[in-house]
Amino acid sequence: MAKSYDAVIIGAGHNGLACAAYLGRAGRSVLVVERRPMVGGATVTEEIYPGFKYSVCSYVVSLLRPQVISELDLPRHGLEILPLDGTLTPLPDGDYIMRWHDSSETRRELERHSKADADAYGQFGTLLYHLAHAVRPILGATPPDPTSLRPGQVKRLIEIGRQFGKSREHLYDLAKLMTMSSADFVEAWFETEGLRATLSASGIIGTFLGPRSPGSAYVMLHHYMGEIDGQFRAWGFPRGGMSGVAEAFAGAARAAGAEIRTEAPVAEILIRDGRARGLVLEDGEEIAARTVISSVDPKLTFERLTAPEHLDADFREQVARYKIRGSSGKVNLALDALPELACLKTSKSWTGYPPEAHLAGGISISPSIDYLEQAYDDAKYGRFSRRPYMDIIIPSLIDPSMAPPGKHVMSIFVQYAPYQLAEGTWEDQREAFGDAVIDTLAQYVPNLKDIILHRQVVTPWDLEQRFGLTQGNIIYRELSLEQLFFLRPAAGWAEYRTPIDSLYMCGSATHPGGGVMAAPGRLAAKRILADQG
Amino acid sequence: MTKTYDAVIVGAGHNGLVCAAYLARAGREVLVLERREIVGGCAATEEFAPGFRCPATFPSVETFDPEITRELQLESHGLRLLAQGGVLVPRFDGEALYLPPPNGTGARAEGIPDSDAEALNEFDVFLRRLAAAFHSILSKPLPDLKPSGLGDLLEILGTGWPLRKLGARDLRETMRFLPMPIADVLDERFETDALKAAIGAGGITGSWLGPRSPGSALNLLLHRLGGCRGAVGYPRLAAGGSGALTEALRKAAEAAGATVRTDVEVTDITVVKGRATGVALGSGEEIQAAVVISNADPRTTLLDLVEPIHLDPSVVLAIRGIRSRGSVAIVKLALDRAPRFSGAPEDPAGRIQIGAHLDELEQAFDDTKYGRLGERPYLDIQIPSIADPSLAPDGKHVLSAWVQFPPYDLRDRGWEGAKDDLAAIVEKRIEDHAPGFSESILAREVASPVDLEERYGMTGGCLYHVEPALDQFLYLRPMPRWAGYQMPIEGLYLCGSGTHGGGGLTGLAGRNAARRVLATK
Repeated sequence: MAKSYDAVIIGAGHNGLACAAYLGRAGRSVLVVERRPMVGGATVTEEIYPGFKYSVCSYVVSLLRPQVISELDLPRHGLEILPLDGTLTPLPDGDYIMRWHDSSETRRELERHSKADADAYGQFGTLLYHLAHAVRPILGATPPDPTSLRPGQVKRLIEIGRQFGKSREHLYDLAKLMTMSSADFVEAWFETEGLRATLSASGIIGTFLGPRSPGSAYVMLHHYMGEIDGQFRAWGFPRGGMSGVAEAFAGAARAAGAEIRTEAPVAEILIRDGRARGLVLEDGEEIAARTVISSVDPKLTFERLTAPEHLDADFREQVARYKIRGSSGKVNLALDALPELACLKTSKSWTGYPPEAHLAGGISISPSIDYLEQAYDDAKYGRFSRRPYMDIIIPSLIDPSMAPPGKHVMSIFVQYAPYQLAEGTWEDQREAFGDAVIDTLAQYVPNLKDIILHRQVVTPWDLEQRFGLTQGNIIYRELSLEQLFFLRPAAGWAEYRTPIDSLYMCGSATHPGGGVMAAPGRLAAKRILADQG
Repeated sequence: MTKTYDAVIVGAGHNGLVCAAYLARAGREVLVLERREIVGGCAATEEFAPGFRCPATFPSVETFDPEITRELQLESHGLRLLAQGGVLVPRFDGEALYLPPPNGTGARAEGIPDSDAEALNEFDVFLRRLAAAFHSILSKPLPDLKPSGLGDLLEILGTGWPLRKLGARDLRETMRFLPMPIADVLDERFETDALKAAIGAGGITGSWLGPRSPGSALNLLLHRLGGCRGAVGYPRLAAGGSGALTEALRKAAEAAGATVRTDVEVTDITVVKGRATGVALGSGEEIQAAVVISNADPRTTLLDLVEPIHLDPSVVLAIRGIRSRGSVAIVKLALDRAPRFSGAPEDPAGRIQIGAHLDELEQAFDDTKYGRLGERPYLDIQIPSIADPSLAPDGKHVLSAWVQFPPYDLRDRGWEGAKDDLAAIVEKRIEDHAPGFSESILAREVASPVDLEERYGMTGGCLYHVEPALDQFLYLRPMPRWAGYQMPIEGLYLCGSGTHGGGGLTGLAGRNAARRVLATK
């Protein structure tokens, strides 16, 4: 008789591993099973082209909760986050907007474009900081069911009301921010078009929204909530690429006694008498467990891994209409030399910055709100953006081990690439999509085409095929208003629990959601421990 | 010494008149001042060519609240509602989807698959239940969010109670529905494209939203709270056009003792020691009143009629933050004969919606985002003279097209030369579905968003004063902290479309404002 575990976790992404670590530390016997040969899921580094390491999917951290980092002692397990400083927005007229971490440098730079914007920028940051603080307690809490009159639920609802009440002066700002578009929000603050666009772009990342879609302002806040060492908004790059994050979580899980098995694809969740009892792997092996936890997305969990007879029709319908349309892709490049921007050749005009510092942070292709909105219009009608929004980093400038000496890797996050194409398939559109990205970027980086040694194009279809992300959605769901807070992943079942006893969810789809955050893994573990006394 | 009124109301739009009637019925001495020579604002009926009369903007009055009609006994003041019309959606293949007037039964459509017929029935019922709950929330002033006693707390709970009463399942469904794009709601439920467009058009009406914009589901609901509920926007005309409704409102107000003066322009709201004390007219005349109630939009009221010195800069900032982007133009045509639409099962005595696919409506919205005129706007057409021949000379007809989305800010060109282009675009679009129609045109009038702004004094030409949107709804309408009709100047109130309950031709804002004023004194 094979060993029976207290908990078996489907998927060794960062949330699955975090959940394993927390359960292991509580003394539970835990097994994590992973389909791929390595841990990490979408937080992964792969050497696709010899000598060059690509963070294939996710490419930066910032939303990773400090609480998780310290509780799981991740630095001891090898996590080192290198700061990314600066966001550069090249403009089509040959100018640029450079924002540094240093606020006085940023102010000087913004003054070049608009005195009023330079003045407003600090206040804008302060407001978002306060709003993020107002939302944070909610992110940390298990969401209540507002339709329930059970005392526990009502109490939690009142508690959330109280949290909001505490920041009463921001209550209205928050209510507006939750419901307005990021374009409307930033247009009220700034007049420099490239600045407006770059700020509002954080409201569309990972969504099927344009900057003019109501709801995108909240997403902007969501991305502002990233913290590293207590600093809001600072993004970082893990040493060794995104696998650095995954390995640290795996180390913490193993240290807590959890076992991890790779190349162990799950065929089905074993359910008897309405209760999850373990897993069946694709090779037929059965693994018995008291609790089954899925870190994969709800569609995969309930439509593929759960036999339909275990779910009632109402729940199946909710899962069926759960929105998870992927909208983004990645292009990873191996470069023979450092790219040269047309608008800015060197950082030496800033004292104390090395000459290539302007390339060592984020580079945002977001010249205007109309540009972003037009990119979105393409996606609405089932086409990839002819002129896409891009968020670019050059990891080899931050961590030289990512590429051979003198060479570089470039990570280009691209939006929009809708999973559902109106015409053709992603297999035959993949290279055309890659070309659109390179052609657009080459307008800002004249030497780009000459220095490309290798290019990897990752479409939403590839994300689904290779990483099991349904419809290629990088955060397991759409960050749309109706899928926030209470309604995730399906109405009435938002508390990591599912309609099946002993089956739990801990992936990005569950509260508080996407990004390399690990909060869902932690909160799910807490829920399970509380449920099981 | 001049006389002091209990209340002076700036503007005799439908909400101003509703407010006046309710105040007068409560015994207040009320004066209504209207800049134009007729009452009704953009809900008047106007002659646009000799012998041809047409509702100014809202072709029909189905959204007007039946409770108000009853309470103010508008029918005894001359309002006569005609029978409900159907909805026709011509398609490009020459066929058309027709949704006949329900006549007491549920919504139905001809020639749709059974699964869609069933879904239509289900959605119709769902929206009716939702309308009942939201009607009760929108038909009273919102309770104060800072409860100062048990009474206030009970009021808050009471306001939310109709939602609670929906039951857990419907409440969850409601919370999901409200912030959604109407296109997503409809894609989940229906397969027939023209049916989706027929319903979805209600989600973009009067707004700066496409069917794929979050908040368009809410906008649909807001158009289905009054006399027309459920999934489909069946039109209902008043004999004599929308102006007959506003005339009846005027009579109701006057019968209750209110005075209505037309042709008087209010140039200033007088503020003394932080309190509104009356208004000054263009003629130099000054009128004293205990309270001033403005039916004008918030921006016009607070930034044009009030001296800026009386407002806190934070309030000015909030007002400037209100979005009022007009995106509706009105084209009125005098016709020699009624058009025949291809595929129409009968004379189209009802609403003809040109835009048979949600993508087509979305593309029309895309144009406005970039300040373009657009070649294929969404048209909401009515031919009121079919049901009410008094609007046109014998045998002739009037056609009103509500056109979305010509932008207020037409990029790279002004509206002057563009109006002829718009007329040509609209006429071509109708001709496509009603061959030979163009030859029947005798006269036309085009009102661009800029014309609507000038003619009716509405900022941005926004017919709803404040764009319907999630962030300009409930406690955020017209602006955060000031959703209770009372404005930041003591004694100054708003009662127009831009306040809670307002948006479209409903009358709820006017009645709510009257209730607020009566409760305050």
